[in-house]
Amino acid sequence: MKAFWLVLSSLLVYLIQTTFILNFRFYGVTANLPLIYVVMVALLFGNRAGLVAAALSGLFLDVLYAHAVGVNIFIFCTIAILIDLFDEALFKDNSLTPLMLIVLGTVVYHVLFLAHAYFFNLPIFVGKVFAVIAIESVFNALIGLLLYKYVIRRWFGYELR
Amino acid sequence: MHAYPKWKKIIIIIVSILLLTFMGISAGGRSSVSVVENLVAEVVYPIQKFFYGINQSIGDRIEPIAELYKNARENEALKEEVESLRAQVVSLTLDQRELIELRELKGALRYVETESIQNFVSASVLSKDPGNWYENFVIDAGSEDGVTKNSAVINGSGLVGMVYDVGTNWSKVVTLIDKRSTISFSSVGIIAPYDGQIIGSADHILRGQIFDPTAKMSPGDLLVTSGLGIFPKGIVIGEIKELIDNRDALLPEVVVEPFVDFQSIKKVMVIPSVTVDTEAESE
Repeated sequence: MKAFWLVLSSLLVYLIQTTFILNFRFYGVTANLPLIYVVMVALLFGNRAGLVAAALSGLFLDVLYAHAVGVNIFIFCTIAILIDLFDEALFKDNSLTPLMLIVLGTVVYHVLFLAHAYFFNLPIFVGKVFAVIAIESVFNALIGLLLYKYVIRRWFGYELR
Repeated sequence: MHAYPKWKKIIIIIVSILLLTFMGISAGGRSSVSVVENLVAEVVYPIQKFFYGINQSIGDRIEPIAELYKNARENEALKEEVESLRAQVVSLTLDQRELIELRELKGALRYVETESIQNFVSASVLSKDPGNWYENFVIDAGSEDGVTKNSAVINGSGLVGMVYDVGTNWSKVVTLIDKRSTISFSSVGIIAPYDGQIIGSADHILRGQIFDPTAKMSPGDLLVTSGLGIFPKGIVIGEIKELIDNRDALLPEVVVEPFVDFQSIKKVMVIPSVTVDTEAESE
């Protein structure tokens, strides 16, 4: 995947997340499109593209929203590296693979995010932790699966099993 | 699972250390962000403002339809409130006359004016935190408009939060509930205003203590900023939701519900902090 497309798609994902996606909340929880994007790019286009997508998506979120710059870059890059470590063992043509990776990615994201919140003494609503992870996992898995199927068909020219 | 070569592992470790260092440096907010951050924000914001505007206008059209039932109930509640407010207007008009007389007396005695908020900056919300944990947002005013770090941010309902990071024409705002910084408050009491402090928590509730152990306060009492700390005096914070009778604590504990609806903020006013300017001058 060329660098230009990575920059453009990262920016587009960020814009959709900060405007359109925020309208769809359930129990105050919304989907995490940049996370889905990072998982998909790392899985389908390899380690280098995954890391660039992770760094760009993280950068946009960090500069404009995070309490400390680098948090989202760190989390997204960790997820991209984890996917790369298990890349050879993953069967990418099975719809369970993106589903499982997106759910695991969501869990890793929140574990690391909450660890950062703890170290930086930010308030954490403990009663909301499981609800956020569960609802976001469902949202992410559904959106991720649809997007994954679409990308496989358009980019690679075949249907997902 | 495949293993990374040694050089890759070293790069990962170095990048991780650099990121953690940058997190440490940027945590706690900055009076001016780095050139790279400013550049990213300046490129992204015009596009984001456009998208956010479209999203807002669609939302504004859909929202009244979606909340038709809720609005009908709210209408009933507002009618009742109007009735009770009418009675209050009569008594307040009498108080106002008294206040005018006292102000005239103040002028006659050559009293010095102490508190007045005049140098505020109006700003619109550019975008909101896309995550699921905090309610932070970005406004379209920055250092060029006179916004400084730790400036108080308010809206029509009361105290919203404080400026955390300042860009040239944008600023990051952290809401009251998202920051573990203490807010000094004063109760709006006729006989004795009690002072105390509250701290944010992620469940949209503020918790704290009243400094006077003998304080007689009750749920529904109004709280305003006391002027101690970074927030100017007299900004409405919220009302007491609950008084906790904790016998182990030295001071009475309160749970405060802020008046601001953090999810529907569109316009805000920023009151530039004087403290930061003084700090910058001394540097």
